[in-house]
Amino acid sequence: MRIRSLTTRLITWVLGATLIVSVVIFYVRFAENRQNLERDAGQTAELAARALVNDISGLMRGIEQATRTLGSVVRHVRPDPDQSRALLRSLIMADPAIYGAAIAYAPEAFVAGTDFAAYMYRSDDGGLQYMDVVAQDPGFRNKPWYRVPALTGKATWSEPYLDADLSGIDMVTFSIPVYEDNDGGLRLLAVVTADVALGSQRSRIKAKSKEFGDDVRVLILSREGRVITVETLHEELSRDVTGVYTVPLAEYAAQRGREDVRVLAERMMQGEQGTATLIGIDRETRQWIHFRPLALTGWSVAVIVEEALLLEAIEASELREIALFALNLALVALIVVTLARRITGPLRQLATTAREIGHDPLAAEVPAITTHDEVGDLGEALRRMQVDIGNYVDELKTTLDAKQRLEGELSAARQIQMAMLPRLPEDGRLTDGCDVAATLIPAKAVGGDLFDLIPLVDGRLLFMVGDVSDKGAAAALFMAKTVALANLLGRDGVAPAELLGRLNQELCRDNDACMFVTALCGVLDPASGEVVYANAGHNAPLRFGRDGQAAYIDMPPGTMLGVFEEATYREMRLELHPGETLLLYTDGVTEANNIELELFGDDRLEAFPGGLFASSAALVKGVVDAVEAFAGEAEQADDITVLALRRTESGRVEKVYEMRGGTEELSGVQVWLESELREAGIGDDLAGELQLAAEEVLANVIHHAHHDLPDAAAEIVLRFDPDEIMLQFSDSGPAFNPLEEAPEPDLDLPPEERPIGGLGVLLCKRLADRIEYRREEGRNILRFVKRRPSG
Amino acid sequence: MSFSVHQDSVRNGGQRLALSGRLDSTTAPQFEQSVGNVLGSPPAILVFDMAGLEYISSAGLRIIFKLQKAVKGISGEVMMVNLQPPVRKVFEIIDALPSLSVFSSVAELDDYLDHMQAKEIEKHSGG
Repeated sequence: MRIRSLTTRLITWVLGATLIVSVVIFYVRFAENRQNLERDAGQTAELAARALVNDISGLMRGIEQATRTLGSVVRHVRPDPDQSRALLRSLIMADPAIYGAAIAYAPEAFVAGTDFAAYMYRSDDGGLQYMDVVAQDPGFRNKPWYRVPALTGKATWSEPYLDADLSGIDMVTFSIPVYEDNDGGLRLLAVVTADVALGSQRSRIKAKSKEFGDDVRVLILSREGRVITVETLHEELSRDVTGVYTVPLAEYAAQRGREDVRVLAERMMQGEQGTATLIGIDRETRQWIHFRPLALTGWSVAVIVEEALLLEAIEASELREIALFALNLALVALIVVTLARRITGPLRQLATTAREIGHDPLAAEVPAITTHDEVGDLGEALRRMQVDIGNYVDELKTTLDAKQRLEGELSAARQIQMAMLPRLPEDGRLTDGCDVAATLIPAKAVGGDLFDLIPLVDGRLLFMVGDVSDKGAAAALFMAKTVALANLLGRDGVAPAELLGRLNQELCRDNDACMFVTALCGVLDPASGEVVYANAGHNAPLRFGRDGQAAYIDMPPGTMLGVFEEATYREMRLELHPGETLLLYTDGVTEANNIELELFGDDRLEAFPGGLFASSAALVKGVVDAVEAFAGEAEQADDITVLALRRTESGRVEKVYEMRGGTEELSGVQVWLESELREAGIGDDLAGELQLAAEEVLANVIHHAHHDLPDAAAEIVLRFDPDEIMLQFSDSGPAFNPLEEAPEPDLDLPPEERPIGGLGVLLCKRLADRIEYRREEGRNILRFVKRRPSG
Repeated sequence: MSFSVHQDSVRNGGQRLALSGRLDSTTAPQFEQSVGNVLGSPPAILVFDMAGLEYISSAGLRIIFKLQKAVKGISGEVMMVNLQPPVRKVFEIIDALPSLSVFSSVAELDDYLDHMQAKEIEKHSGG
């Protein structure tokens, strides 16, 4: 499992939240700053423009005033050339802004027949220079400074122009017309002018504008839209000073596709006042522009502020803020990490400890956490848990030990119990004429099922199946008691009904616990097929026919054993035909349940094709398999006992020969045997082997049982079954099992060096398909069986 | 139930015992008696001709082994010829065949004896 650490999560959330808040604050501040910037830029530009307009207006007004004063003097005095020279000198000297001044009389106005116009200006050396305009520039009356006021009769500021003839500097000129009375009307007397050199004014304006910022610049347009200031024009716009003066800015901008500049120029020319932003009137940057009219001259003054400059300041402060913000964030992260470590460190330790406690509660060491907080509380809880688990484990160990001891005892009891059940030959031939098999599959607990099979002396077979009412040790003991008693009674040849009656009486005695047994007991006579049986409350057995049909035996239930002392049992009879099978079982079969708690049931058992199984052993296994398959995952709740009894097919022929005497009698046996075998149509090879076996066994009997005395007696039974031939030898001599007690010849030695004994037994063992010995009722019984050759 | 044994000589100073009938507990003493001379002075080569023997039990085997032991005692050789299936099976069961020279017919046995004789002559002439 991947753990997303608490530290990581804390950092993510805290830093994330801080970041979001900061970004919002930052954004708001940024927007505010931008707004402030715009306001500041507009204000700066407006302030500067206002100041400049005032400044220039003041200057211009001074010049106008001085010029008008000169005009009024000229009107009243009509100064001669000398007077004119003096007047002009004083005018120029009075105002440093004035570059030059002129008095130009109208034709015939000074003195009839003479013409007079004087001009004085500042020379390069700083002195004043006088010029006779009539002599120097006879066509002066066509020049705008004279012509415009003379024609309009109004004082006027000229458009800027370059004084190419005289000084080579650019300037503007203020001209006023002076009139005199003439017979009730007015007549032009003279035009008086004052020149302002733009060069010096530009420097002044520039200096003035710098008061508002290093990069604050000024653009002044003339009445007709010509650019008066030079530095403010974009390189391309200001390439040619002459061009600037001759072409209005609006027209100039239109020619170069600068629509924004053209619009600005138009608005300025129309005397509007306002603010505009545009990219690069003189540079490729964003600029703030405030423009307002200069009423006196009809000019328009615009102040240009570079946005970049203001931005720089803002950006610097913004950078500072970002840096602070980052520092802040780092600090928060540091605090969070430290804090998280202090919390998760102990938590991690506690987690490790908790895991260790899982493995070994006592060995794990709970870290000492002394903080009085939730983590400390957890540590304390873990410590308590360790102690509790330790105690719990101890208790569990004690309980487990006791349980194991008990289980060991139970399993021993179970083994003893199982050992009380009879052991059956694998081929089911416990008694001649029937094939029998039985199994008891114990449930987990010691249970109380039982079965018994006792071959009786007369060839009959006693069988019994029982089920003690309860489970556990008491039931097991009760079962043991029942089996022991039944064995005792059964071997004495007591008939089933009486056997159950006496068993009942014995079991009733001192049965304070009121345990009881259901049992079915019967005796089968394989020769006749008669079954005598009695029931003590047990399940009805099932009879399987040869054809596979099955049916329950109809019988009264009978009283179970161990409860009613006076109970008696009725004897019943049935005939078992050759090939038919009787199936006895306990309710562990019919009441076996699957996980859906459905029962196996009588019907399912009845439908079982028991008749089709080749042997009783196969049938028993088949029934058990069917029950287990049905139960599936469900735990086996009760002992399962199945007992099958099949009467084998008839076709059996038995021949008996009584031998009496010593070795010499053997030839008599051989003669009898040979003739019987020939009569039965047995082939020479098989007959020879049977004869050999008979000779070897009987020689052994004579030698061991009768010490080679001539009074040896033995009974030889030759039995033909459809599939096999059996030779049974029985004698009443001392118990001797040749199969185990005869010396085994050492086959590794060369035959001539082997001890002689045991060779015959070896031959018998090797020749037999089945050979068995048992001691019964004081007799040695040895059976030698050969299968008939198939086909 | 008869058993008989016929004894004669073969080449190279060998003895032949031709057995017939049933050799069992009853007839074994008779057989033992009739081969007393063979047991007394065992020949270098003892041939059992089993052509007529139809039955043998451990009692008979015991005497066969006794004879075998005597012959082997003088470094002689025991041979068997004409073993009938039931008898052969008995020998097989007790794992006795490997210690015997078994021939399926008299002709085969004669070839073997001829071969041995030739070798004997060669040995004498060569030495």
